[in-house]
Amino acid sequence: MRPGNSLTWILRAVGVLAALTPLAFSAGCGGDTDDRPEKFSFIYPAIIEPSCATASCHSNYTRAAGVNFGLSEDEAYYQLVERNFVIKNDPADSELLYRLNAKGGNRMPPDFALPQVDIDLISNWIANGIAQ
Amino acid sequence: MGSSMPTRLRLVKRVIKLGLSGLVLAVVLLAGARDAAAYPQFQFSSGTNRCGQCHYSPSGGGLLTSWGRDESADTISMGGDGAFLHGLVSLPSWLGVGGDFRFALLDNDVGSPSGGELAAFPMQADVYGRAAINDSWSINATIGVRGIVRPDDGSIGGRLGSAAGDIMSREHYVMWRPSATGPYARVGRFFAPFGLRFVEHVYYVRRYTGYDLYEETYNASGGYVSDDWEVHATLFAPPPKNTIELLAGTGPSEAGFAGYGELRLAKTSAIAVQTRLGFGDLESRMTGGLVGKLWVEKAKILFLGEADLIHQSFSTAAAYSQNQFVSFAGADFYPARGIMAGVAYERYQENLGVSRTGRNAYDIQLNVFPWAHCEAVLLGRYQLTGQGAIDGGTASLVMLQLHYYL
Repeated sequence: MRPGNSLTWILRAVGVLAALTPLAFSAGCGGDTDDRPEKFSFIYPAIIEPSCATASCHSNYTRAAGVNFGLSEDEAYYQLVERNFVIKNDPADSELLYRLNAKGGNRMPPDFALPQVDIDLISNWIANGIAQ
Repeated sequence: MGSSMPTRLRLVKRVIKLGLSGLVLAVVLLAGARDAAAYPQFQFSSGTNRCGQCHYSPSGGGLLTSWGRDESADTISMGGDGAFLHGLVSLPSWLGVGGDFRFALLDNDVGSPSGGELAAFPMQADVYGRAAINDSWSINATIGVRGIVRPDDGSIGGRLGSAAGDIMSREHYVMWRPSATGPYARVGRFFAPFGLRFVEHVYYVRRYTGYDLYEETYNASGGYVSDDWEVHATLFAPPPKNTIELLAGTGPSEAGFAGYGELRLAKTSAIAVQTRLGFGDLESRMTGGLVGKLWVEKAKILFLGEADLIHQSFSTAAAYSQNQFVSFAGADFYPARGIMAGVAYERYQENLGVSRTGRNAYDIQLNVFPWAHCEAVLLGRYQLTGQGAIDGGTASLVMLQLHYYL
């Protein structure tokens, strides 16, 4: 086998490996302890902005139902609190959690359910005083 | 008799032109801008080695070159003429015009009490323009109407009424590219070269890496493209938050650097390394990943894969940081000219340190290209969030897209 052919096959193997790498992570990993901060300064950039401020929903563009989570963390916090989507210390009466759990209305986000641990984190954030 | 046939032919051509112009106008008015459509599935499988052969953009996507137009008819579709307006009009060589228009029907079920959602909506209406100043320099721009899946007033009248305020330009840049291969540079707004640039923006490797819908950034970018390898380096900055809608964008406000290098072998395989370093007021994301492609000629199957690790740190949340993983593994089968069938598995884990923050997606897709300029796409997608039934998180999507490109 010529050196060029060897290199070709090695790189092909690397290519196949790269293509198959995702499968190695399919089972998922991580512990059962959720140490993520119950603060809006984490919840907003980690969960709300990527899940809710998307182009078709609550972004600068679309502002579905007049809600825009795409401007800034402060503006998103203000809209959640002032429009009573979250009720401080009262997750049971917070509409945000109704929507995330698909209770009494269509599920949000409309393309997939948030992981339950994310919903629990938001619920705890509300229960513990909606810290910024 | 001898003169009536050409006259009739001219009349037929004029009627076709008027019809097509009307169709384009109607779709532009009704539909919405989406994405500079790229098909990484056609690299190698169509006999084309690099994305910049078929697209004016050196990293692919958007307006087709004359080579790309020929390929779209001769290789990818079952027949027809891939030239602008099916060859009815010849544009001067310095001018390039094209467009993408999509209409979608979908059945989406995310477990709402009211059941699944049925929707029909205009998805994309983009017009591309390119003006060559000389052999090296060109001005490129995309203008479209934003697509809104769930508008407050979804009637045709409601969509038409808001269309004028929904016009946007996702891409506009000046490019120096003296040759199809060799060095190039461009400045303006576009997606920095990175990852598998699928048409489907819902794929995790697009959505969670900074390449979701309307997340194009302002860039100063350059690179080198040859037949066997290419490298791209980009400095990027987000669109201003409070700008006119024509230039606005979505996504996290990050500025930083993106790099992509691809090595191709024997016109059948490619391996790429990539990085994206984004710095914002609220968070920073350091991304590193691999992309792989392998074309198996005998089986007519193209394997594609991408895997990225993301280190995300939050500046204001008690200096917390987390690691994420996002990936795509798929295979596309080309049983006959004009038909592409694909399956894919996707994985995204939001926080590798916390179990049940992951989600998996299983996709099946059929693309039919019955005639040049025309495509029908049937997509099925099933997602499992966390541990599926335990977390109550499953979602299914069936979507039919009708696509016309100018």
